Amino acid sequence: MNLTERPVDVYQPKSFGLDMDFYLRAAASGQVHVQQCETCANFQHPPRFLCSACASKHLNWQAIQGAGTVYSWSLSHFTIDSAWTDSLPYATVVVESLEGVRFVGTFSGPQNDLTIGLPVNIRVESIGKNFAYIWFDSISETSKENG
Amino acid sequence: MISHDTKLSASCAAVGVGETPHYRSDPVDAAQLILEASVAALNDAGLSPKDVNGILPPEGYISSEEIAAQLGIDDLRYSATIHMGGASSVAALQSAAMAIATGVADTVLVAFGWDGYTSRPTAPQRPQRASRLPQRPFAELMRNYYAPYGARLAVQWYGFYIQRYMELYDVSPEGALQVALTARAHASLTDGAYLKDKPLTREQYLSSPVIVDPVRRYDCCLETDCAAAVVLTSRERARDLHHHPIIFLGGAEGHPHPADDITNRPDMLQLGLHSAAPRAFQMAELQLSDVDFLQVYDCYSHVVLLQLEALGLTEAGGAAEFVVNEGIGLDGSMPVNTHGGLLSHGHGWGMNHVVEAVRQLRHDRGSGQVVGAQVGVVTGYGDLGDGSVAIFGRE
Ligand SMILES: [Zn+2]
Repeated sequence: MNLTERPVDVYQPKSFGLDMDFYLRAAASGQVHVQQCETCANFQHPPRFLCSACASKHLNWQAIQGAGTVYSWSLSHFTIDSAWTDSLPYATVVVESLEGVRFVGTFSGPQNDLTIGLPVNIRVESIGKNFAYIWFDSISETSKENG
Repeated sequence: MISHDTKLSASCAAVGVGETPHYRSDPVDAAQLILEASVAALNDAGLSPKDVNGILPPEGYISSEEIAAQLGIDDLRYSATIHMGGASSVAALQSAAMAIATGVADTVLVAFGWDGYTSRPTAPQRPQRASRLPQRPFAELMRNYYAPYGARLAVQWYGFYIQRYMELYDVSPEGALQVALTARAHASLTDGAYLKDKPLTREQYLSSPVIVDPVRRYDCCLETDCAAAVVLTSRERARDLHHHPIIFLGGAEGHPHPADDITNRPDMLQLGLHSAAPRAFQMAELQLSDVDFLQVYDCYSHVVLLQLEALGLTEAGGAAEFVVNEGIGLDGSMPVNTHGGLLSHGHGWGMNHVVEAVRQLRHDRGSGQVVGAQVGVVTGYGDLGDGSVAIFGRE
């Protein structure tokens, strides 16, 4: 199984505050941005008011490089979310970016390829202004497509 | 070692336990069940509601003030609500012990319950009490970052670390299978277990559907409407009551970091129990080799394996092998969930595990008795991996 398109009516959180900032930035730029601490250079996600490494309040948004490796995943054969029923079984994947922060998203490659450490590209699909969907694309697949 | 740890250990005793049946039929009001279990625990202790001056209720279902109003507790001096999901019930024991040890309260009611079946995720929406507070500490993060990708259920979030655990340690699927089958066998020896008369075979287990890899239906806890309660009082007062006092020897809670997000923990397999367990054993001045049984919060079979490792029973990745080779049945080298657990007894928020521990140590468990049990451990597990632990012993 692989999932190259997300369910059409996927849940879009009505975020506010820093979480809304996260989605507005990703949707507008087409790139995932995370907080970086001005004081100690720590990257963090999800966004918080303070740096989780040094408690500084001086945090800036930075675009990530856009690559990482699979850390883990959850493969559902059952769902209570009707948007996902037709996609069963589907994987919800955790990827660690080069910056060392982890994101939840959907893997576009074959589920059977999922393994800890699998290199992926991190891609954003903007859905309107307020939400952005995070995809993980297999790097080997991309290079094959590119010849 | 911090000196006041010693003072908390053995400062109080569990003197009364009570529980309701597990229901999966008509809709119930969880508050009513919690009150029924509370009255049962007070009756079991031979105490009156007027003796109670501390209350620890579950988050969301009833407040300590409502419990006090309904039971006629007119001098409430201490109330606190623990927000650790399924780890709350056992964590509340530590808080109760602190209140008693310091003299803030002398008799504390810890009551937990819910409408786990009536308000299960697949049930139709029903009117709720205005006072109900279902939100958990991680709710904001979950809806923003997990739910869009189809992960809305606990088993899907825990799937992140169960999957990693299975792959990193090449864990045998026999481990989870034995946890589930042993729980059912223990339920058959336990009055009040929801699945007492429903044996589970290896074949039934293996043909049950996978919910989230590798968790099968029979690895998942029951959804039941139920409540359970325990009354604790000072060790001195406990000696005057009619049951053999069951002494609180140690307890602790632990929170993985960050507790509100599974995915960004430095090591996703470090649970709250990993930090809590050593502190509880230090407080009790005991080791796992002194322990006669474990009641482990079993929302999913695989989470039991992780907790057995967090308790120090085996090295990381070794629990499945232990379960298969050493055994967790009544005749095994470490009996686990001797009432059937959340898997087969019912989902009493782990307070049913506390009730079972007290009954075992009273030597009141009939054919389900761990013969000669002197020390028992109960764990709680909840939210996104919070952990709690309590160690009890016979006076
Ligand atoms: Zn910093």
